[in-house]
Amino acid sequence: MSKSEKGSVSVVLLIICFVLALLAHLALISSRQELKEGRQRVLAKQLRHLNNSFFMKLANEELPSGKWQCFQGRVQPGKESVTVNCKSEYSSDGLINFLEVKSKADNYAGQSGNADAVQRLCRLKMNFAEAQKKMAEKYVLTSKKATGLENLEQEALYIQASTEEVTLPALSFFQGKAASSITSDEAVNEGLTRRFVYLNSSQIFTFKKNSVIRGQSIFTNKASIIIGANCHFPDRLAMYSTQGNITLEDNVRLDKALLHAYGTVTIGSGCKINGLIIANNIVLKGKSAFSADADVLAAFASCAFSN
Amino acid sequence: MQQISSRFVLCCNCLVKLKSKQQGFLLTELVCSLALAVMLAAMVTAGLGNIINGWQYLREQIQLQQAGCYMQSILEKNLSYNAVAINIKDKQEIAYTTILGNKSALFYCNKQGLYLRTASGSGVGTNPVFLPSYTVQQWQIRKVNSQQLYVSFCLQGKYGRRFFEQLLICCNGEIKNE
Repeated sequence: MSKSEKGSVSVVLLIICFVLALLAHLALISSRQELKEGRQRVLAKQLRHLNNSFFMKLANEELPSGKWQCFQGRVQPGKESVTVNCKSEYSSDGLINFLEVKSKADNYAGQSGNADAVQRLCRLKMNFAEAQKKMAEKYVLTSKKATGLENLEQEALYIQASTEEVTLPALSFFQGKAASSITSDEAVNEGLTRRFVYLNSSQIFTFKKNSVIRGQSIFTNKASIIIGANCHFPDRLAMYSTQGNITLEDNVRLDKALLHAYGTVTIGSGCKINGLIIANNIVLKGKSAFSADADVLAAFASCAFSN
Repeated sequence: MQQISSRFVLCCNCLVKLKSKQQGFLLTELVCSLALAVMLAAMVTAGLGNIINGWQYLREQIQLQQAGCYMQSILEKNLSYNAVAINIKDKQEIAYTTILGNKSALFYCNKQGLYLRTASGSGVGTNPVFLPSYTVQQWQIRKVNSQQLYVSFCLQGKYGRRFFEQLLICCNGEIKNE
Protein backbone atom coordinates (compact mmCIF):
# COMPACT_ATOMS: atom_id res chain seq x y z
CA MET A 1 0.00 0.00 0.00
CA SER A 2 2.69 2.49 1.05
CA LYS A 3 4.79 1.39 -1.91
CA SER A 4 1.93 2.06 -4.34
CA GLU A 5 1.44 5.57 -2.83
CA LYS A 6 5.04 6.59 -3.43
CA GLY A 7 5.32 9.55 -5.80
CA SER A 8 1.58 10.30 -5.80
CA VAL A 9 2.22 13.96 -4.88
CA SER A 10 4.58 14.29 -7.80
CA VAL A 11 1.91 12.91 -10.19
CA VAL A 12 -0.61 15.48 -8.95
CA LEU A 13 1.96 18.24 -9.28
CA LEU A 14 2.80 17.05 -12.80
CA ILE A 15 -0.86 17.09 -13.78
CA ILE A 16 -1.27 20.63 -12.38
CA CYS A 17 1.87 21.73 -14.26
CA PHE A 18 0.54 20.12 -17.44
CA VAL A 19 -2.84 21.88 -17.11
CA LEU A 20 -1.13 25.22 -16.42
CA ALA A 21 1.18 24.73 -19.41
CA LEU A 22 -1.82 23.88 -21.59
CA LEU A 23 -3.67 27.01 -20.45
CA ALA A 24 -0.59 29.15 -21.06
CA HIS A 25 -0.25 27.67 -24.54
CA LEU A 26 -3.93 28.36 -25.33
CA ALA A 27 -3.50 31.94 -24.11
CA LEU A 28 -0.44 32.28 -26.34
CA ILE A 29 -2.30 30.97 -29.41
CA SER A 30 -5.24 33.27 -28.68
CA SER A 31 -3.04 36.35 -28.23
CA ARG A 32 -1.09 35.50 -31.40
CA GLN A 33 -4.35 35.26 -33.33
CA GLU A 34 -5.50 38.58 -31.87
CA LEU A 35 -2.18 40.17 -32.78
CA LYS A 36 -2.42 38.84 -36.34
CA GLU A 37 -5.97 40.17 -36.74
CA GLY A 38 -4.94 43.52 -35.27
CA ARG A 39 -2.01 43.78 -37.69
CA GLN A 40 -4.20 42.94 -40.66
CA ARG A 41 -6.73 45.54 -39.53
CA VAL A 42 -4.04 48.18 -39.33
CA LEU A 43 -2.63 47.10 -42.70
CA ALA A 44 -6.06 47.29 -44.36
CA LYS A 45 -6.57 50.77 -42.91
CA GLN A 46 -3.15 51.90 -44.13
CA LEU A 47 -3.88 50.50 -47.60
CA ARG A 48 -7.24 52.27 -47.73
CA HIS A 49 -5.68 55.61 -46.72
CA LEU A 50 -2.88 55.19 -49.23
CA ASN A 51 -5.31 54.17 -51.96
CA ASN A 52 -7.78 56.97 -51.23
CA SER A 53 -5.02 59.59 -51.21
CA PHE A 54 -3.68 58.53 -54.61
CA PHE A 55 -7.18 58.21 -56.00
CA MET A 56 -8.16 61.72 -54.88
CA LYS A 57 -5.05 63.10 -56.54
CA LEU A 58 -5.53 61.22 -59.83
CA ALA A 59 -9.33 61.50 -60.12
CA ASN A 60 -9.23 65.11 -61.28
CA GLU A 61 -6.42 64.65 -63.81
CA GLU A 62 -6.79 63.89 -67.51
CA LEU A 63 -4.83 60.67 -67.79
CA PRO A 64 -3.74 58.94 -70.98
CA SER A 65 -4.49 55.26 -71.48
CA GLY A 66 -2.08 52.94 -69.65
CA LYS A 67 -0.91 51.42 -66.37
CA TRP A 68 1.50 52.92 -63.82
CA GLN A 69 3.00 52.07 -60.50
CA CYS A 70 2.31 55.05 -58.27
CA PHE A 71 4.05 53.88 -55.12
CA GLN A 72 6.12 51.04 -53.77
CA GLY A 73 7.29 50.89 -50.19
CA ARG A 74 6.93 49.34 -46.77
CA VAL A 75 4.51 50.12 -43.98
CA GLN A 76 4.86 49.51 -40.26
CA PRO A 77 4.35 47.35 -38.25
CA GLY A 78 5.94 44.31 -39.83
CA LYS A 79 7.63 46.17 -42.71
CA GLU A 80 4.90 44.97 -45.05
CA SER A 81 5.66 45.57 -48.70
CA VAL A 82 2.87 47.50 -50.46
CA THR A 83 2.39 48.72 -54.02
CA VAL A 84 -0.12 51.18 -55.47
CA ASN A 85 -0.97 50.78 -59.15
CA CYS A 86 -3.09 52.95 -61.39
CA LYS A 87 -4.89 51.98 -64.58
CA SER A 88 -6.55 54.33 -67.04
CA GLU A 89 -8.61 52.88 -69.87
CA TYR A 90 -10.69 54.49 -72.65
CA SER A 91 -13.63 53.24 -74.68
CA SER A 92 -13.12 52.64 -78.40
CA ASP A 93 -14.49 56.10 -79.27
CA GLY A 94 -12.33 57.74 -76.59
CA LEU A 95 -15.34 59.27 -74.83
CA ILE A 96 -15.49 57.16 -71.69
CA ASN A 97 -12.62 56.86 -69.24
CA PHE A 98 -12.24 54.25 -66.52
CA LEU A 99 -9.77 54.95 -63.74
CA GLU A 100 -8.73 52.29 -61.26
CA VAL A 101 -6.34 52.75 -58.35
CA LYS A 102 -5.38 49.52 -56.59
CA SER A 103 -3.25 49.10 -53.46
CA LYS A 104 -1.88 45.71 -52.61
CA ALA A 105 -0.04 44.20 -49.63
CA ASP A 106 2.32 41.91 -51.55
CA ASN A 107 2.71 39.22 -48.88
CA TYR A 108 -0.98 38.84 -48.14
CA ALA A 109 -2.60 39.50 -51.52
CA GLY A 110 -2.37 35.89 -52.73
CA GLN A 111 -3.81 34.37 -49.57
CA SER A 112 -7.41 33.26 -49.74
CA GLY A 113 -9.84 34.89 -47.36
CA ASN A 114 -7.73 38.02 -47.13
CA ALA A 115 -9.80 40.48 -49.10
CA ASP A 116 -8.47 43.43 -47.08
CA ALA A 117 -4.99 42.96 -48.55
CA VAL A 118 -6.17 44.52 -51.80
CA GLN A 119 -7.97 47.88 -51.76
CA ARG A 120 -9.45 49.30 -54.95
CA LEU A 121 -11.19 52.49 -56.01
CA CYS A 122 -12.60 53.18 -59.47
CA ARG A 123 -14.28 56.00 -61.31
CA LEU A 124 -16.02 56.37 -64.68
CA LYS A 125 -15.99 59.63 -66.57
CA MET A 126 -17.91 60.37 -69.72
CA ASN A 127 -17.28 63.10 -72.26
CA PHE A 128 -19.65 63.83 -75.10
CA ALA A 129 -19.00 64.21 -78.82
CA GLU A 130 -18.11 67.75 -79.88
CA ALA A 131 -20.85 67.80 -82.52
CA GLN A 132 -23.46 66.99 -79.89
CA LYS A 133 -22.05 69.59 -77.49
CA LYS A 134 -22.49 72.28 -80.12
CA MET A 135 -26.08 71.19 -80.75
CA ALA A 136 -26.89 71.31 -77.04
CA GLU A 137 -26.18 75.04 -76.91
CA LYS A 138 -29.08 75.88 -79.26
CA TYR A 139 -31.29 72.87 -79.82
CA VAL A 140 -33.38 70.47 -77.76
CA LEU A 141 -34.54 68.01 -80.39
CA THR A 142 -32.23 66.50 -82.96
CA SER A 143 -32.98 63.54 -85.20
CA LYS A 144 -32.83 62.27 -88.77
CA LYS A 145 -36.64 62.09 -88.96
CA ALA A 146 -39.35 63.81 -86.94
CA THR A 147 -43.12 63.45 -86.68
CA GLY A 148 -45.56 65.86 -85.01
CA LEU A 149 -43.35 68.91 -85.27
CA GLU A 150 -46.50 70.98 -85.57
CA ASN A 151 -46.81 70.51 -81.81
CA LEU A 152 -43.47 72.24 -81.29
CA GLU A 153 -44.09 75.88 -80.38
CA GLN A 154 -40.49 76.97 -80.96
CA GLU A 155 -39.45 75.42 -84.26
CA ALA A 156 -35.91 76.74 -83.79
CA LEU A 157 -35.36 74.11 -81.11
CA TYR A 158 -35.35 71.29 -83.66
CA ILE A 159 -32.47 70.45 -86.01
CA GLN A 160 -32.17 67.63 -88.49
CA ALA A 161 -29.08 65.66 -87.67
CA SER A 162 -26.62 63.61 -89.69
CA THR A 163 -25.93 59.91 -89.03
CA GLU A 164 -22.70 60.86 -87.29
CA GLU A 165 -24.50 63.24 -84.94
CA VAL A 166 -26.99 60.61 -83.82
CA THR A 167 -24.37 57.90 -83.34
CA LEU A 168 -24.40 56.45 -79.85
CA PRO A 169 -21.20 56.42 -77.79
CA ALA A 170 -19.47 53.08 -77.10
CA LEU A 171 -21.64 52.40 -74.06
CA SER A 172 -20.82 48.69 -73.87
CA PHE A 173 -17.63 49.92 -72.17
CA PHE A 174 -19.76 50.35 -69.04
CA GLN A 175 -20.35 46.60 -68.87
CA GLY A 176 -18.75 45.11 -65.76
CA LYS A 177 -17.87 48.58 -64.50
CA ALA A 178 -21.18 50.37 -63.88
CA ALA A 179 -24.00 48.93 -61.75
CA SER A 180 -25.68 46.13 -63.68
CA SER A 181 -28.98 45.64 -61.93
CA ILE A 182 -31.85 47.84 -60.89
CA THR A 183 -35.58 47.22 -60.73
CA SER A 184 -38.44 49.66 -61.26
CA ASP A 185 -39.21 49.58 -57.53
CA GLU A 186 -35.58 50.23 -56.57
CA ALA A 187 -35.50 53.19 -58.94
CA VAL A 188 -38.53 54.68 -57.18
CA ASN A 189 -37.43 53.86 -53.62
CA GLU A 190 -33.69 54.46 -53.77
CA GLY A 191 -33.28 56.58 -56.89
CA LEU A 192 -30.56 56.29 -59.50
CA THR A 193 -27.03 55.56 -58.43
CA ARG A 194 -24.16 57.92 -59.09
CA ARG A 195 -22.12 54.88 -60.00
CA PHE A 196 -24.05 54.83 -63.33
CA VAL A 197 -26.25 51.98 -64.54
CA TYR A 198 -25.71 49.71 -67.53
CA LEU A 199 -28.42 47.11 -68.16
CA ASN A 200 -27.47 44.62 -70.81
CA SER A 201 -31.03 43.39 -70.90
CA SER A 202 -33.48 42.68 -73.69
CA GLN A 203 -36.39 43.63 -71.42
CA ILE A 204 -38.07 47.02 -71.52
CA PHE A 205 -37.29 49.09 -68.42
CA THR A 206 -40.20 51.13 -67.07
CA PHE A 207 -40.02 54.03 -64.65
CA LYS A 208 -43.32 53.85 -62.77
CA LYS A 209 -45.73 56.71 -63.28
CA ASN A 210 -46.16 59.50 -60.70
CA SER A 211 -42.71 58.96 -59.22
CA VAL A 212 -39.91 61.39 -58.35
CA ILE A 213 -36.59 59.81 -59.21
CA ARG A 214 -33.55 61.58 -57.85
CA GLY A 215 -29.90 60.92 -58.50
CA GLN A 216 -27.29 62.15 -60.95
CA SER A 217 -26.65 59.23 -63.24
CA ILE A 218 -26.06 57.79 -66.66
CA PHE A 219 -28.75 55.18 -67.23
CA THR A 220 -28.33 52.77 -70.14
CA ASN A 221 -30.59 49.94 -71.24
CA LYS A 222 -30.02 47.77 -74.29
CA ALA A 223 -33.78 47.48 -74.90
CA SER A 224 -36.41 50.22 -74.77
CA ILE A 225 -37.13 52.54 -71.85
CA ILE A 226 -40.56 53.84 -70.84
CA ILE A 227 -40.94 56.82 -68.52
CA GLY A 228 -44.39 56.71 -66.92
CA ALA A 229 -46.77 59.63 -66.85
CA ASN A 230 -46.06 62.43 -64.33
CA CYS A 231 -42.55 61.20 -63.59
CA HIS A 232 -40.11 63.82 -62.41
CA PHE A 233 -36.29 63.63 -62.69
CA PRO A 234 -34.96 66.65 -60.78
CA ASP A 235 -31.23 65.82 -61.10
CA ARG A 236 -28.84 65.64 -64.00
CA LEU A 237 -29.43 62.56 -66.13
CA ALA A 238 -28.17 60.97 -69.33
CA MET A 239 -30.41 58.18 -70.55
CA TYR A 240 -29.55 55.82 -73.39
CA SER A 241 -31.35 53.01 -75.16
CA THR A 242 -28.69 51.34 -77.28
CA GLN A 243 -30.98 49.14 -79.36
CA GLY A 244 -34.49 50.34 -78.60
CA ASN A 245 -36.72 53.35 -78.12
CA ILE A 246 -37.40 55.82 -75.32
CA THR A 247 -41.03 56.68 -74.61
CA LEU A 248 -42.06 59.61 -72.43
CA GLU A 249 -45.68 59.44 -71.39
CA ASP A 250 -47.70 62.57 -70.61
CA ASN A 251 -46.52 65.26 -68.18
CA VAL A 252 -43.02 63.91 -67.68
CA ARG A 253 -40.61 66.45 -66.24
CA LEU A 254 -36.86 66.29 -66.90
CA ASP A 255 -34.94 69.14 -65.27
CA LYS A 256 -31.52 68.48 -66.81
CA ALA A 257 -31.42 65.53 -69.15
CA LEU A 258 -29.92 64.02 -72.25
CA LEU A 259 -32.08 61.35 -73.89
CA HIS A 260 -30.45 59.37 -76.66
CA ALA A 261 -32.12 56.41 -78.33
CA TYR A 262 -31.04 54.19 -81.19
CA GLY A 263 -34.62 54.07 -82.53
CA THR A 264 -37.42 56.49 -81.71
CA VAL A 265 -37.98 58.93 -78.87
CA THR A 266 -41.70 59.46 -78.36
CA ILE A 267 -42.79 62.44 -76.27
CA GLY A 268 -46.30 62.66 -74.81
CA SER A 269 -48.15 65.89 -74.18
CA GLY A 270 -47.59 68.28 -71.30
CA CYS A 271 -43.95 67.29 -70.80
CA LYS A 272 -41.37 69.78 -69.56
CA ILE A 273 -37.87 69.04 -70.76
CA ASN A 274 -34.65 70.93 -70.18
CA GLY A 275 -31.76 69.41 -72.11
CA LEU A 276 -31.24 67.55 -75.36
CA ILE A 277 -32.99 64.66 -77.11
CA ILE A 278 -31.16 62.72 -79.81
CA ALA A 279 -32.58 59.84 -81.87
CA ASN A 280 -32.98 58.51 -85.37
CA ASN A 281 -36.65 59.42 -85.12
CA ILE A 282 -38.55 61.77 -82.82
CA VAL A 283 -42.32 61.68 -82.40
CA LEU A 284 -44.18 64.52 -80.67
CA LYS A 285 -47.63 63.41 -79.57
CA GLY A 286 -48.74 66.71 -78.09
CA LYS A 287 -47.61 70.09 -76.92
CA SER A 288 -44.72 70.17 -74.48
CA ALA A 289 -42.29 72.76 -73.13
CA PHE A 290 -38.64 72.51 -74.13
CA SER A 291 -35.53 74.47 -73.23
CA ALA A 292 -31.91 74.05 -74.29
CA ASP A 293 -29.14 73.55 -71.75
CA ALA A 294 -25.52 73.15 -72.81
CA ASP A 295 -24.56 71.93 -69.30
CA VAL A 296 -26.20 68.57 -69.87
CA LEU A 297 -23.27 67.67 -72.11
CA ALA A 298 -20.53 68.75 -69.71
CA ALA A 299 -18.16 65.94 -68.65
CA PHE A 300 -20.01 63.54 -66.35
CA ALA A 301 -18.08 61.68 -63.65
CA SER A 302 -19.38 58.82 -61.54
CA CYS A 303 -18.80 58.49 -57.83
CA ALA A 304 -15.78 56.61 -56.55
CA PHE A 305 -16.68 52.95 -56.13
CA SER A 306 -14.76 49.96 -54.96
CA ASN A 307 -16.20 46.88 -56.66
CA MET B 1 15.76 39.67 20.43
CA GLN B 2 17.84 37.33 22.46
CA GLN B 3 14.69 36.34 24.36
CA ILE B 4 12.86 35.48 21.11
CA SER B 5 15.78 33.44 19.81
CA SER B 6 16.15 31.59 23.11
CA ARG B 7 12.39 30.84 23.10
CA PHE B 8 12.59 29.58 19.49
CA VAL B 9 15.49 27.31 20.51
CA LEU B 10 13.43 26.08 23.45
CA CYS B 11 10.45 25.32 21.17
CA CYS B 12 12.70 23.42 18.79
CA ASN B 13 14.15 21.45 21.68
CA CYS B 14 10.61 20.65 22.86
CA LEU B 15 9.66 19.45 19.39
CA VAL B 16 12.77 17.29 19.20
CA LYS B 17 12.02 15.87 22.64
CA LEU B 18 8.39 15.29 21.65
CA LYS B 19 9.49 13.57 18.48
CA SER B 20 11.82 11.36 20.45
CA LYS B 21 9.08 10.52 22.91
CA GLN B 22 6.33 10.43 20.18
CA GLN B 23 3.91 12.28 22.50
CA GLY B 24 1.44 14.78 21.01
CA PHE B 25 3.63 15.41 18.00
CA LEU B 26 0.89 14.57 15.44
CA LEU B 27 -1.47 17.30 16.74
CA THR B 28 1.26 19.97 16.60
CA GLU B 29 2.22 18.89 13.10
CA LEU B 30 -1.43 19.02 12.04
CA VAL B 31 -1.91 22.52 13.48
CA CYS B 32 1.24 23.75 11.76
CA SER B 33 0.28 22.24 8.43
CA LEU B 34 -3.27 23.62 8.68
CA ALA B 35 -1.91 27.09 9.42
CA LEU B 36 0.43 26.76 6.45
CA ALA B 37 -2.41 25.53 4.26
CA VAL B 38 -4.66 28.46 5.27
CA MET B 39 -1.85 30.90 4.56
CA LEU B 40 -1.19 29.32 1.16
CA ALA B 41 -4.91 29.25 0.32
CA ALA B 42 -5.21 32.94 1.16
CA MET B 43 -2.23 33.73 -1.05
CA VAL B 44 -3.56 31.62 -3.93
CA THR B 45 -7.07 33.13 -3.63
CA ALA B 46 -5.71 36.67 -3.66
CA GLY B 47 -3.48 35.85 -6.63
CA LEU B 48 -6.27 34.10 -8.50
CA GLY B 49 -8.62 37.04 -7.86
CA ASN B 50 -6.10 39.40 -9.40
CA ILE B 51 -5.56 37.07 -12.35
CA ILE B 52 -9.32 36.72 -12.94
CA ASN B 53 -9.83 40.50 -12.69
CA GLY B 54 -6.93 41.11 -15.06
CA TRP B 55 -8.22 38.48 -17.45
CA GLN B 56 -11.72 39.97 -17.45
CA TYR B 57 -10.28 43.44 -18.04
CA LEU B 58 -8.12 42.20 -20.90
CA ARG B 59 -10.99 40.25 -22.44
CA GLU B 60 -13.23 43.32 -22.26
CA GLN B 61 -10.54 45.51 -23.80
CA ILE B 62 -10.33 43.08 -26.75
CA GLN B 63 -14.11 43.11 -27.08
CA LEU B 64 -14.17 46.91 -26.86
CA GLN B 65 -11.53 47.07 -29.58
CA GLN B 66 -13.58 44.77 -31.81
CA ALA B 67 -16.78 46.72 -31.13
CA GLY B 68 -14.99 50.00 -31.90
CA CYS B 69 -13.54 48.61 -35.13
CA TYR B 70 -17.02 47.44 -36.16
CA MET B 71 -18.41 50.94 -35.58
CA GLN B 72 -15.48 52.55 -37.40
CA SER B 73 -15.94 50.25 -40.41
CA ILE B 74 -19.63 51.24 -40.69
CA LEU B 75 -18.75 54.93 -40.39
CA GLU B 76 -16.02 54.54 -43.01
CA LYS B 77 -18.20 52.63 -45.48
CA ASN B 78 -21.03 55.15 -45.20
CA LEU B 79 -19.10 58.40 -45.04
CA SER B 80 -16.03 57.65 -47.16
CA TYR B 81 -17.72 55.94 -50.07
CA ASN B 82 -21.52 56.33 -49.94
CA ALA B 83 -21.96 59.94 -48.82
CA VAL B 84 -22.35 62.75 -51.34
CA ALA B 85 -23.22 65.92 -49.43
CA ILE B 86 -22.30 65.84 -45.75
CA ASN B 87 -23.61 68.27 -43.13
CA ILE B 88 -22.27 68.38 -39.58
CA LYS B 89 -24.72 69.65 -36.96
CA ASP B 90 -23.25 70.93 -33.66
CA LYS B 91 -20.35 68.46 -33.83
CA GLN B 92 -22.89 65.77 -32.85
CA GLU B 93 -24.85 64.74 -35.93
CA ILE B 94 -23.82 63.89 -39.46
CA ALA B 95 -26.54 64.19 -42.09
CA TYR B 96 -25.73 63.14 -45.63
CA THR B 97 -27.26 62.24 -48.95
CA THR B 98 -26.02 59.03 -50.50
CA ILE B 99 -24.87 58.08 -53.98
CA LEU B 100 -28.40 56.71 -54.41
CA GLY B 101 -30.48 59.77 -55.26
CA ASN B 102 -33.54 59.05 -53.14
CA LYS B 103 -31.65 57.88 -50.06
CA SER B 104 -30.40 60.07 -47.23
CA ALA B 105 -29.06 59.20 -43.78
CA LEU B 106 -28.19 60.62 -40.39
CA PHE B 107 -25.70 59.44 -37.76
CA TYR B 108 -26.65 60.60 -34.29
CA CYS B 109 -25.86 59.80 -30.68
CA ASN B 110 -28.75 59.23 -28.29
CA LYS B 111 -28.83 57.80 -24.73
CA GLN B 112 -25.20 56.70 -24.98
CA GLY B 113 -25.76 54.83 -28.23
CA LEU B 114 -24.94 55.61 -31.85
CA TYR B 115 -27.69 55.23 -34.43
CA LEU B 116 -28.08 55.49 -38.20
CA ARG B 117 -31.40 56.77 -39.49
CA THR B 118 -31.97 56.08 -43.19
CA ALA B 119 -34.70 57.67 -45.29
CA SER B 120 -35.65 56.55 -48.78
CA GLY B 121 -38.72 56.34 -50.97
CA SER B 122 -39.80 53.22 -49.11
CA GLY B 123 -39.78 54.90 -45.68
CA VAL B 124 -37.59 55.74 -42.71
CA GLY B 125 -35.67 53.26 -40.57
CA THR B 126 -33.25 53.49 -37.68
CA ASN B 127 -30.52 50.98 -36.90
CA PRO B 128 -28.09 50.90 -33.98
CA VAL B 129 -24.42 51.21 -34.91
CA PHE B 130 -23.10 49.99 -31.56
CA LEU B 131 -23.15 46.89 -29.40
CA PRO B 132 -25.70 47.22 -26.57
CA SER B 133 -23.25 45.88 -23.95
CA TYR B 134 -21.09 49.01 -24.27
CA THR B 135 -22.11 52.66 -24.07
CA VAL B 136 -20.91 55.34 -26.49
CA GLN B 137 -19.48 58.47 -24.88
CA GLN B 138 -17.70 61.64 -26.02
CA TRP B 139 -19.07 61.25 -29.57
CA GLN B 140 -17.63 64.08 -31.62
CA ILE B 141 -17.28 65.00 -35.30
CA ARG B 142 -15.05 67.71 -36.72
CA LYS B 143 -14.52 68.94 -40.26
CA VAL B 144 -10.81 68.97 -41.11
CA ASN B 145 -11.25 70.27 -44.64
CA SER B 146 -13.87 70.00 -47.38
CA GLN B 147 -13.14 66.30 -47.87
CA GLN B 148 -11.73 65.12 -44.54
CA LEU B 149 -13.66 64.35 -41.43
CA TYR B 150 -12.37 63.58 -37.92
CA VAL B 151 -14.58 61.29 -35.82
CA SER B 152 -13.89 60.30 -32.22
CA PHE B 153 -15.79 58.42 -29.54
CA CYS B 154 -15.22 56.43 -26.39
CA LEU B 155 -16.67 53.02 -25.58
CA GLN B 156 -17.40 52.35 -21.91
CA GLY B 157 -17.49 48.78 -20.66
CA LYS B 158 -17.93 47.23 -17.20
CA TYR B 159 -14.25 47.20 -16.26
CA GLY B 160 -12.73 49.85 -18.51
CA ARG B 161 -13.08 52.13 -21.49
CA ARG B 162 -11.41 52.58 -24.85
CA PHE B 163 -11.04 55.70 -26.98
CA PHE B 164 -11.34 55.61 -30.77
CA GLU B 165 -10.53 58.24 -33.34
CA GLN B 166 -10.32 58.15 -37.11
CA LEU B 167 -9.74 60.46 -40.03
CA LEU B 168 -12.10 59.78 -42.91
CA ILE B 169 -11.44 60.82 -46.49
CA CYS B 170 -14.83 61.41 -48.09
CA CYS B 171 -14.17 60.29 -51.66
CA ASN B 172 -17.56 61.34 -53.03
CA GLY B 173 -18.67 64.06 -50.72
CA GLU B 174 -18.19 67.61 -49.67
CA ILE B 175 -18.39 68.43 -45.98
CA LYS B 176 -20.21 71.44 -44.59
CA ASN B 177 -20.72 72.72 -41.07
CA GLU B 178 -24.22 73.83 -40.16
